[in-house]
Amino acid sequence: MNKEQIQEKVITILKKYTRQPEVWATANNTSKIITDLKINSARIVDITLDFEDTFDIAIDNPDMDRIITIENAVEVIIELLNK
Amino acid sequence: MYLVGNDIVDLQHPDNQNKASNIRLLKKILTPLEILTVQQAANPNTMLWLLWSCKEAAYKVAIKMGIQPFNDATQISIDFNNTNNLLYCGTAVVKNIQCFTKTILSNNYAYSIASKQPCIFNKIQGTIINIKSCKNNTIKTQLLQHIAKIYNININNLSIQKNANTQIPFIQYKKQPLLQFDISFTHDGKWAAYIYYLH
Repeated sequence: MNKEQIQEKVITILKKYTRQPEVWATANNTSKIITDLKINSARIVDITLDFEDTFDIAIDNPDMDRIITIENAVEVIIELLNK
Repeated sequence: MYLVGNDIVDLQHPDNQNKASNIRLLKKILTPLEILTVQQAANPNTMLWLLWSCKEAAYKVAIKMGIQPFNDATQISIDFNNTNNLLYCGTAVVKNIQCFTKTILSNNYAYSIASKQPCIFNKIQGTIINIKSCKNNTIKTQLLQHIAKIYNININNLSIQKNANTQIPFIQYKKQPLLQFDISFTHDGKWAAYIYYLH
């Protein structure tokens, strides 16, 4: 799976938890998941579990802390896939 | 400076249902002791969100005190020291910062407020609204209307801004911050709430 395919899957998962779809009109790689995409902080754990299931990886809590932006999520997933 | 934080969880929202039986989820957001508290509760799902709302309210206070934002909620621990069916008072430790929490539970929501000083709980003002029934009057507008009334000023000169780095909200009057107010907002599902402390 290349970076673009991973990013596409990440965005699909994030969109599932977006309650204000209009935020995607201005979203980019550096968009912050909670503040820019307006995703409720309680959903971060659901998103993390979806990442784990989709990419068959285990994201520990320190790695979860690194996921602030879309780009961060893609980076963490790539790192874990390469381990 | 007295700092306040709040958080509400819509207990009826589909996204918040049947989460307490998911041990993977619990391990990502709760400490081992909190997991035990959830598993032994009469209503585990409600206890999960009750703990979560305490954590979020305390986190908002800690962020205002300057700690760096983080996602790992296991770094916040909650210990209830006084509870009944509808009111839970507790202590939160956010990394090395201690706060106090007070949570109201209803069938519809778990609503927590937090502060470093429990003595100010009785002086914290605020309200909870059902968003669906107040479509033309958002929670932020309600707070501004309230403040305009307190000071007898034009609401058009008031606004709510957010610090670009920390995302901490504050009130502005004629482009100047109103520093005597510490405010906090929360919403989830059909519920929203604000609190403020007037110094």
